[in-house]
This record gives sequence, structure tokens and C-alpha cells, in this order.
Amino acid sequence: MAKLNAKARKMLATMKDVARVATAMVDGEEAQAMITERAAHHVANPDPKYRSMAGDYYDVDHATFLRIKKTLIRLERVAGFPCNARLWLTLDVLEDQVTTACQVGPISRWPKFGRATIPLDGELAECLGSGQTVVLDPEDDTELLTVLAPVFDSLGDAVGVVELTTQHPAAKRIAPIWN
Amino acid sequence: MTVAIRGTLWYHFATGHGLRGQMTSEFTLTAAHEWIAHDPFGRPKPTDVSANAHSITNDQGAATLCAARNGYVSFRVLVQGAGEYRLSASMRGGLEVDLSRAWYHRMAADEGEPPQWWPDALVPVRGRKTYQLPDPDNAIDGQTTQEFWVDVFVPKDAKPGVVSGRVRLSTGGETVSLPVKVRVLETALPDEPCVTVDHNSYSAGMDAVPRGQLTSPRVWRRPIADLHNRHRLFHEHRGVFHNLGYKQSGAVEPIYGPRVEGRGRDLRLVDWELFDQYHGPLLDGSAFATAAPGAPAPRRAAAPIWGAYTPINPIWPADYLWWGEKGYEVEFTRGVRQFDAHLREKGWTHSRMQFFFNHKKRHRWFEWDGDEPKFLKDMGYHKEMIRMWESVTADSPVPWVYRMDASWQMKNQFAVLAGHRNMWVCGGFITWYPDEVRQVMARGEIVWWYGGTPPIHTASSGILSAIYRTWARGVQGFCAWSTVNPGKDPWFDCNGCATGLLYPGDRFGIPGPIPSIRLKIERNGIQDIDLLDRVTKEAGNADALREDWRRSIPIPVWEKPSPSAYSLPPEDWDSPTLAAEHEPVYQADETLDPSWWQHIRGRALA
Repeated sequence: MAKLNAKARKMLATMKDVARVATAMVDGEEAQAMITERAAHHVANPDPKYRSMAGDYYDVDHATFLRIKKTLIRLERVAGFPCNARLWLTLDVLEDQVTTACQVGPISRWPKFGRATIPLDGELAECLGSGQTVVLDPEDDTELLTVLAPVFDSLGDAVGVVELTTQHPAAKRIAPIWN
Repeated sequence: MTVAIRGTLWYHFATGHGLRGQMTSEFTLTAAHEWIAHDPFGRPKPTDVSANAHSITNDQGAATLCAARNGYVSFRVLVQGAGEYRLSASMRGGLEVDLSRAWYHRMAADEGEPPQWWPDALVPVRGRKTYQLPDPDNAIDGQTTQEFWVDVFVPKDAKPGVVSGRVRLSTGGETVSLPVKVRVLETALPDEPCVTVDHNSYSAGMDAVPRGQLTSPRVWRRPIADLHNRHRLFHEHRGVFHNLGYKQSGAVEPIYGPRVEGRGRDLRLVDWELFDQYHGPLLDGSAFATAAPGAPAPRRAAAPIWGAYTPINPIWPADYLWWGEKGYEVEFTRGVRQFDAHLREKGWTHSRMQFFFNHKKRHRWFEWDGDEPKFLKDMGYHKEMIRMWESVTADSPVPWVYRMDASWQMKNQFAVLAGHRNMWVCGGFITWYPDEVRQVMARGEIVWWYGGTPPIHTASSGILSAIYRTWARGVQGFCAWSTVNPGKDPWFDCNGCATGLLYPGDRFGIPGPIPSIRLKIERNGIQDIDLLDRVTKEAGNADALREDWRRSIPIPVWEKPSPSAYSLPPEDWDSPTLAAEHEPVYQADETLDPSWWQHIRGRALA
């Protein structure tokens, strides 16, 4: 289990600063709107018989996605150390779940490759409910450091979360970069 | 019904199969057709039971086979009995024999259901190894039968005629023999198959790397050796192997691409050591001069691989931050030009280097589909990538191709991407587009199609249908999309291994992959198609003969599109509206007799 040493504390402090920038820079309403209505419907209503159908229909507005992607890339680089950014989003059609809307690097606290949604609970729910930056307990066995930044729409409602995750500096092994 | 007559064991299934073996008081040796698997109790796999008898033994109890030179002929040997024994095999006339013990995979079963065990992984028999029945390692209660696989290789210079040999079982001072007779034909297989049967895979399979050692040659030694050995096994089985080195995020493992240093006009590709260690022996062919661990010495000539994926993707070598801006093109063209220059400098100019996008937008890393685009609007990205790539590789001696794995938009893509050095790998919808495929091939482009691999419990001859479809369509290749991942526990909780034709050999003390029965049957099928192809070409009317075959083999080669495919754009297609499955999952044709390939083999060896 990795301990929260001085280096890790410093990294977390930096990530909290990046999280504040993320909250300011990412437009949650624009992100929600970039997913087509049909894609959102299939994300929310996966067909148990045709499991790939939700993925087949997934589509986004190119320009909006690219803008968000580039913003997340820049956020990663602000940290000054390898740190991956991913935008989790609520959708009107989703109940108690969030979907990944855009991501850059491969490392995540909730690596659900191939799954369209994950339950909205724990720290993700806390971040959305409070509208505040949330720092995840780094002393678990994931060897990951994570900070969550709320993302708001034009009404001031928290509708998404930017996840910033990096490896603990004392991690013994490099997480697979090829997810 | 089983009847023992004068020391010879006869099997008669209700279907009319005949098997004959030699018996002592304790052990029996029986020859069985390569397409009929038996469980550890001597019962044939139900999906292999044919309405047509295909015994391979003659009246004297000898296994009788026929083979072209420069190729293999195979059969199974069932050892039945109890106790310790040794097995060996030999042939006269310079023919070479490879003997392998089959592993019985315990198939996953619902709770309360009795498990089924079917053979597939093949463990080479080395030296004078003593076996036991029941086999303690395979751990099957009441096991009475052990299947072995026999490959007989007929060298190119073997003398035509009947050659004798023997499979021998020795136990407690007694010997049981199974005579083998191989009729060697005058004809010889071509060195290169007429169709390319590809086996696809993803990454080197490293779960994690010790911190600070991401680029350490020591860390990558075993993964590189494993990849080379997979190449060797598939090559020896008349196939090819592809291994993609980046995944959906675009991150590249260090053995697949050099490090990118600097940005913009200063971008450089550096540290080629790991890339060269992995790719060098494949691109110059030297990897094939030696065999995979446990495998016999190479019988096919060493040659550069057919082709390879490159690491080029939306974030390599260029930074996606600059996509749509001039900096992206500067970085992309600098990186690809340096990559091409490295290949030329090394003399690696024989293998088709594939510029290919594997990402799908459903995974949320990119806004467009690189692989199997569903939305025509995404083609703008492909066209822009091709424009930049061609600007720096057009005059290269490296045989670059733009590989497009196409499904939904296949027909539109054929038109939109016309005029480039395309390599198409088409999904199941290819069956709707015979005319379009012919036109694309007439433009000089490469056409493959892709699909799945039959799981172990389906008909043993099922793996041959993809080879037949490839040849009957007149396209150049078939890609089985995932072939080196047999699952978490292929030995005792087997999911059918539809994504694995090779198995890890470590369990048996072999530091590398081992082949499967399905791979052997596939190889033998490729051989048959090579002979059939020659026959049709020599007849001078190949297209007409191919059409005759399409009529006589009950496998649909071309089909009419689903009505919805006419009325809806591909963006609105899905499996329910099309009433067609588009995923590359093997679907057994239960109307097909398990011995259907005999029609082809009979003609090939006539």
C-alpha cells in the first residue's frame, strides 16, 4: 500500500489547482449537448441481446468533442507530471449513472473498458452533490492519486466531473498504458 | 457398438464411421480422422459425427493417407487402456513425423451439469516420455482414452509412391503397432499459399511494468520472444500473424514504436532499440530460421513477414492537441518520414507496412471511428490522414498500405477512398457486395475479410469454412480477429477458446506457445485450397470452376443484402433492423455435414 509521502502530497496539491482550472474551463452543458440524442438513448438503454448496439450508435458532434478533448489535454499538461484527465457526465436519460464523455490518457480510478456507464455513487456522487473538489483517499491499494473537479451547466448545476488521476510516486509498477 | 475381433478393435457408430485399431490385453491403438475428435472416454464429439463414413483405415488395419509433397497429412491416434505407456511414430522414405499429445479441455458447464472434455491444445511428444492413462495432469475421473495428433510431413524431394510407417505403443515389455501408409503424390504444394490466413492479436500482453523499466530490454525480452514464437507457429502452419501495438487511447508500447522527442519542426523519433529487436527478425525473415520451443525444425523457408501494423495513430507521432492546425501536419509528416527512412535504411522493404486506425469513438478517446466507421461524416478524418501519409510515402520502396477495417460503410468507403494504396479488411457485410469487391480488386487494392474462430466444442471442420469462403470469393485473405488469447483458464474452465488458436506452453515446461488441433486442421485446409486453386487455374477457366464450386458446396459465399440495407442508410443499420449479425463471432452452420470438406480434399488430392 502506498503511503502519502511528501511528494504525493505535493502532487495532490498541484492536482487540486488543476481541478479548479478544470471546473472553470469545461462547459458541462456543451458536453452534454455534444452527444447525439440517439447515442444517449442507447447509452441509457443498452439492448441485452445486442450488447454492441449502444457502442455502434455512439456519436458526437466533432467540433465540440475536439474542443473538450483539447481542453483535457491542456489540463493534463498543467500538472507538470503524467496525469490523466477524463470527463464523467450525467445525462437526462441516465438515472444514478454517469458516462465517460471524453478522455485523454488511459489511467482512471474507474477503468471500465467497454462499459458505457458506471453507477453514480461514492466520491463521484459526493463531487456532483456538493459542487466541490473532492480528493480521493490515496491510501487505498490502487496506488493511484485522484482529484475530482465538478463541472457545471449554464444554470449552475453540477452535471459532470473531471477526473484527474495519476500514479502514486511510490507505486512499484507502472500501470498499463495500453488500455 | 464395440466388438473385439482377433485383437483388432472395431468401432461402429450409428452413423457408419469405421475405426479400426490394434489391441493388446491392456492397450489399444486406433487411427481416427483429423476431423473427428473423441472425448477421454472414446466417444466422438457429437458435432463431428457425419452422415458419411470417412474411415482412414484399410482392411489390414493400417491408417491410409494421401499427401502432396512439400506438405502435411494428419490423423489422430486414440490410445485406450490403463497404465503406463510410451508412444512413438516413424515413417520411411524421408517422411517426417511429429507426434503431439492432445490436452482435454474441461469445458465450462452450468452448476450440476456433468463437464465435457474435448481435445485441442497439442503438447509435443519429446524423447522417450512415459505417459499414464488416466493422465494425472489432465485429472479426468475414469479417463480411458488419450488422443494424440500425428503430423506427417512430406518433403519436397520425397519419392512419389506408397510409404510405410508405424505408430508404436510400448508398455511393460509389450509393443502395439498401428501401421501407417501414406501415398505420396507427384504434385507438390507451392511454397506460398494462394490465400493469406491471418491471425490477429493486440499488444504484447504485459499487465504492468516495474517502475523505471519501461524501456528496459530485459523487461521486454520474454514478450518479444513470445511474439516471435507466435509468428513462427503461424508461419509454419501456412498462416500469418498480426499484432497491434497500441490500443484505444493511442498509447504505444515501446517495442512497437520509437520514442517521440521534441515537438513541431523539431520532432524526432529516437531510441529504436526495442522496435528493432522486435521487428528486425520479422521484417528480414531471420526469425523463421529457427523453430518455436518444442516445435520441429522449420520446414517452410525463412522469409520476411507478409505485413505488419505500424504504431501510427491519431496521437503518434503527432500531438492531437494540434489536430486541424498546421502543427499537426508538420509533426505527422516529420514522424512518418523518419519512420519510413528507418525501414529503408534497414532494408526492411518487403513487408506491407500498414497505416491503420483501430480506435472507435464509443470508447470516448476520439470523436471519429478509425475502425469500422459507422458514420460517413467520419471519412473526412481518414481522407486527411491519407493525404498527409501519401505526401511522405508516395515514392518509398516500402510497400505501405492504408489498412481500412470496414463494415457498415463498406460500400460507400470503396468509392470514397478509391485511388489510394488500400488494404481492405471487410466485415461480414462483404457477402452483399460481390461486384464492388471485384471492382476494388481490379483497381489493384488488397481485399481480406474478417471473422471469428470456431470454439472447441463446435464441429472440428468448422474452421475450414473461412478458408473456403476466402477462396470462393476470390479475395486475398481472411483475418481471424483474435487468436492468441485462449481465456483465463483454458485447461479446466474452458470458454471454448474462440479467441485462441495457440496456448501457453509453460504448463508443460515449454517456454513458448503451443499449437492447437484447430490450427492443424486449418493448415491442412489451406494446403487443400492451394491444390484446388492450382487445378482450377490449370484448367484455364478458373472463374467458371469457382462458380461450380460455389454451387456444389452448401456454404453461402455471396448473399442478397437485407431489405433494410436498401431502405436505410448505414448510419441507421443495426442487427435487429438488418436481421443479420455483424460482430465477428463464429456462427456454426448446423446444416453442414461435418465431412463437407471431403469434397474439396478429394478433388485437391485427385
